[in-house]
Amino acid sequence: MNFERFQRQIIVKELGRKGQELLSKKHVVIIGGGGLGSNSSNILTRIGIGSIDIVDDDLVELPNLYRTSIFNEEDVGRPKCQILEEKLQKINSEVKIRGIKKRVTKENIHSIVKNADIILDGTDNMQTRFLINDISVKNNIPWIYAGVYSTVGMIMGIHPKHTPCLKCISQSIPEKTGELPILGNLPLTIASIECTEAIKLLLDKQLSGLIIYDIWNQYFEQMNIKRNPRCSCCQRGIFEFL
Amino acid sequence: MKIKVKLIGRYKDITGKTELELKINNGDTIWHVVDVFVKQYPKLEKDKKFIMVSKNNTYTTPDAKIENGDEITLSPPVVSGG
Repeated sequence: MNFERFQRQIIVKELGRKGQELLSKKHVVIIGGGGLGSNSSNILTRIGIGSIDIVDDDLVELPNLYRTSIFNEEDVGRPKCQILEEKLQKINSEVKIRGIKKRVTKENIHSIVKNADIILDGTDNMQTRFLINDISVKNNIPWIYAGVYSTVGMIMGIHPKHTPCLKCISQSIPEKTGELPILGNLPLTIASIECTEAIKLLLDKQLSGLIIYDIWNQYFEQMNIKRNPRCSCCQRGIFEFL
Repeated sequence: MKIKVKLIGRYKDITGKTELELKINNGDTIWHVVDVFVKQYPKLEKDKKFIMVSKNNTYTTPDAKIENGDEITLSPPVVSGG
């Protein structure tokens, strides 16, 4: 990869040229191409990840546009993953971008993530997140959980055997009911934090635990939580969603 | 006994506090802490089932017992939009 475009990123001491080179060899799978996934794929393409798969089976709809930064009115009615592949490839032709028009299921998730160095959460439901969590823990693939609601986002980097998994904190997660409110600029902000945690994981740096950010009230919380010793997934190896 | 409870996110806004003291009995469970908290702040009743409670930085089940000296944190539920 031509590193000239990253000249001001390489001088960031947390990354350096070595870090940039490492990122250029990594493969990221982003599940979901909506508010979080489209913004994450945009950020990671520009940052110089080696290859990115974006998995989504939805079409772009008008109500998606206010919270994304890649899609426009001409894209309405076309597959999100295809638009992302086309547009992101023009941003950096050296990054291998692949849009995969599929709904992630327990039958196909193995093949979707088999070469992933990390999985990024761009989904809009807990069922798929638990499925990602199961395959992550089972196959030892790190992933980043991210969710948005109204003006609040949550992010947690999950590194199997090292950090808590989603199930460790999941006893009280509410299921999605109806249309969720989301402030338009929230997904971009949370995707940015999600990508930062992803880069840290890819470079084997220390993660920041569970992050809660309310962009309206400017609350930023970081919790260094521990693994749940009674977790059914990462402690007892029960993968109920797979 | 009295326990100190740390509050996260919008719970700080609603209560106007970063930490509060709750009176519970030795051996009470996490569920009891949530119950006492919500009774003090009825506005949070709809959160009751979903409040995330950690004990000593570990998320546990609602039936986990509280002992003297435990550090409790209450945070809003994990969100699920994409």
